[in-house]
Amino acid sequence: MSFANGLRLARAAGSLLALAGAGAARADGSATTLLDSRPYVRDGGHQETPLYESFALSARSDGGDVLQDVRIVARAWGRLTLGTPFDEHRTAGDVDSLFVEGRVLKRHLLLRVGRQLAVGGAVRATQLDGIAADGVVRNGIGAQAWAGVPVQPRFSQAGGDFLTGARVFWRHAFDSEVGASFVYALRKGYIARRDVALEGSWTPIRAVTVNALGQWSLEEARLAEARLQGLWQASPKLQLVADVQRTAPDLFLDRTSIFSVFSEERRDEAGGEVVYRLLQPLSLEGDWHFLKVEGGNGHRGGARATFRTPTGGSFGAEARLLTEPDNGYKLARLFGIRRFPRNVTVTLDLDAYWLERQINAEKRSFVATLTGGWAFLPGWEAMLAGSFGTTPYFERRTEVIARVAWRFGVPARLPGGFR
Amino acid sequence: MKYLLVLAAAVAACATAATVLGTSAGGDEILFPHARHKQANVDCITCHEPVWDAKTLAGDFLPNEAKCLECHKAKKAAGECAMCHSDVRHAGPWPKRPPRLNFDHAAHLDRVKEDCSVCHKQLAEPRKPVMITAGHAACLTCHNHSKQYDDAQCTTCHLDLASYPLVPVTEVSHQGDFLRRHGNVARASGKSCAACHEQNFCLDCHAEKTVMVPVETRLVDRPDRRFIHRQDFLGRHSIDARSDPALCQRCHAVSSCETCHQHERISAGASARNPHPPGWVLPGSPQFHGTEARRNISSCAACHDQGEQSNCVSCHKVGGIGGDPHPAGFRTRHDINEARNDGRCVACHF
Repeated sequence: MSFANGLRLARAAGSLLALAGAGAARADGSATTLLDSRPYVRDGGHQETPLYESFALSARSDGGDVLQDVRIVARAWGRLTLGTPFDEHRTAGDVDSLFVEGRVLKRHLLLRVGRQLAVGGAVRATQLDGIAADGVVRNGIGAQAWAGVPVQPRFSQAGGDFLTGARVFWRHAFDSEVGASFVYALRKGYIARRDVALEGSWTPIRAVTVNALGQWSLEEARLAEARLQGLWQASPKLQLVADVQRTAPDLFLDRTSIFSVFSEERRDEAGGEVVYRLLQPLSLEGDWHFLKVEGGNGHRGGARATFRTPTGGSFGAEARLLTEPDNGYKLARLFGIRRFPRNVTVTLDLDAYWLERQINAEKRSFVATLTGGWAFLPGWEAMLAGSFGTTPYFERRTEVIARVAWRFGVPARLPGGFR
Repeated sequence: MKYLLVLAAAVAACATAATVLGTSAGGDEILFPHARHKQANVDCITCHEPVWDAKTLAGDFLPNEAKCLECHKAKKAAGECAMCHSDVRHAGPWPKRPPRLNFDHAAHLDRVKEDCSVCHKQLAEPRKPVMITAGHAACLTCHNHSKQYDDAQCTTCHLDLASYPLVPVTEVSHQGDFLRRHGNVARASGKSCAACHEQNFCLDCHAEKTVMVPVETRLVDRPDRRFIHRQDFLGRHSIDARSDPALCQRCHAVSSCETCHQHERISAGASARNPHPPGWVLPGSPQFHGTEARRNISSCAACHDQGEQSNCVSCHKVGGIGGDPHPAGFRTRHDINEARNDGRCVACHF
C-alpha cells in the first residue's frame, strides 16, 4: 500500500468537489472508527487488534446547463494495527469507490468516471477503474457501456488487465426490463472472458415477476450460466419463489487461470422458497434447493421465523441444512434486537452448527455475540460488541468490536464551495 | 498509553471532520401560528405568494422578515423579537431545504381551484411541527398518481429515492432469501436497485478487492439481516464452497481466497498446516487430489494459482508425471494457431 497514492487520490477528490461547486447541493455520508480485536491463528494463539477509520461521502448538485444532476461518491478507509501485526503490515488502506457522475444531453445520458461498480448483464458485478455511460434513447430503449481496468487491491497495478462491456435494453417499467449484453476482459494481455448474455426481469401483472438469464462463453462455445426464476405474491401474506439454474463454475474463473482447465464444468440447482406472514409482526420463511454437482448430489434448505415488535425490535429463530457429497452441516440460530429508551439498542445472536464429518477433529461450532449500541447525539452512534465461542478452528474464540459512527446529512458545508 | 493516544487521535479526526463539514442543527425556530392567522382571515397567498407561479420546489416559498413586518413592525420596534423567534440570540430566516420532489404548485393550484387545504390538511403551530401533507395519501387520491404508484414509477415525483428509508414494494420484495436472488434483479434491472441504493451500499459486499472488514463485522449489531458469512463461517466455508464453487467467485476474486489462505499460512508445504490429507497424490485414493480439483478447483486456486509456476502445470504437462491434461479429441477441436493466443496454452507451450 502506498500512502503517496492515497494522498493523490484524496487530492483528486478535493479537486472534483471544488469543480462541482455550482447550484443547489446536498451531501450525505459517514465517518466510522472501528476497533476489532480478534484471534488470527488457530486456537487463539494470536490476538490482532486493528483500528480502522473509514469515510463515505455522497454529494449531489443540480449542476449547470451542460452537466446536470452531478454526484460525487467516495468511500475509503485506513487501518493501523495496534501491537504486533500478524502479517507484518502495520498499516493498510484502500479506496472502495471514488467517482463523479452527471447527466448530459438534457439528462438523457448519464456519464460516470472513476472507481465504481459496473453491474449489468454479462459484466456481472465488477469493481472497475474506468468510465460508464448509460442512456435512454426513446420509449425505454437505451444502452449502457463500461470500459476500464478491473480494480486491484491496495493501489497495486496489473499490466495487461482491461475490461469492457455493453448492454442494450428495453425498460418497460420500474420492474420490467430485458437486455442483451457482452463482456470482453483481458488479464495480463490474454483473454479472460468473452461472453454474451440475454437477460430480463418482467412483471406481467403486479403479483408475478419472472426473471431469466442466459450467458454464453464465446471462447468456450458453451453455456456459462443460465437461470430462470418466478416470484408469485399469491396474497399480501404469501410469497412463493421457484428457480432453476445451471452454472459452469470454471467460467467464473479467468480463462487465463490454469485452474479453469481443471475445474468442474457444470453445477445444477433447482428449488424454491416460501414466505408467509402469519400475523402482521410474524413472518415465516422456508427454502429448499436440490444440488447436482459432479461428485454427487446435495441439498440446501432452511426455515426462519421472525417476530418484529412495534418499537423496531425483532426476535427470530433459524435452522439451516447444507449437504454436498463430501460433508454437510446443520445450523441453528437464535437472535434478538431489543430497543430501550434513550436510543439504546441491545442485540444477541446465538449461532451453532454441527458438521457431518469432522474438520480439524471437531464437529461442532458455537458462537454467541452480544452488542450494545447507543445513539448519543443526532447522527452519532457508539457500539460495543463481544463475541465468544468455540469452533473447528478456535478452541476458544474471543472477539471485541468497538465502533463509533457519525452520519451527516444536509445541508453540509464542504471544502471547495460545494455546499 | 500509546493505544490511548491513537484512539484519541481517531476521535479527534472524527470531531475535526464534524467541525469542518458542519453538524449544527440551528437552534432558532420561527413561531408561526397558522390557526391564528387563519382566524384573522389572512389568506395563504398573502404570505406564500411565490407558490402560485412555482413549477418546482426550488424556490423560496416561506415569507421573509419584510413580509412579516408589513403587519408586525411595531412588535419589532418594541424589541419583542421573542414573539416570532424561539432563540432570539441566534435569530435567523427560515432554513432552506433542497427539494426532494418534482412538484408543480402552479398546475396543482388550478386543479384544486386554489384550495390549498385539499393537500395541506393540517398546518404547523409554534413548537408543534407536523407533516404539511399526508404524504402518499395526499397524492394518491388523484387517479393519475395512483397509477404511477402502482407501476412503481417513483422517480416521477421523487428526486432522490436513495435518501429515503423506503420499504421495498411488492414487485421488488426483499423478503425470503433475497440475498441469493438479488443478483438476478441487479443484472437485469440495475436501475431499480439504484433507485434506492447507492453504490457504496453494494460495495459493502462487492468491494472484494478493497474491502476494509467483512460486512458482518461492520454490522455485527444487525443479526436480523442475512449475510453469507455470518458468525463462524470460517469453520464451514469449505462446505459452502464445495456445494457451489461459483458462489465464492460471484463476489470474490481468486486473490481473496489466496490472500487469506496465505495470510493464515494454510498452504502446501507449510508442515503441520499442510491442508492435504493422506492419499492426496495416490490415484484411486478417496482423497485423490485430481477428484478434489474437479469438484472444487477454487479451493486449489486459493493457494496454487500462480500461472506458469503453478503446481498443476509442473506435473500435468505433456510428458509430465501427472499425465496429459488434454481430454480426448482435443487436437481435432483446436489448432496450434489458436493456442498461441490462449493464455492457458502458453502456460506450458511456446
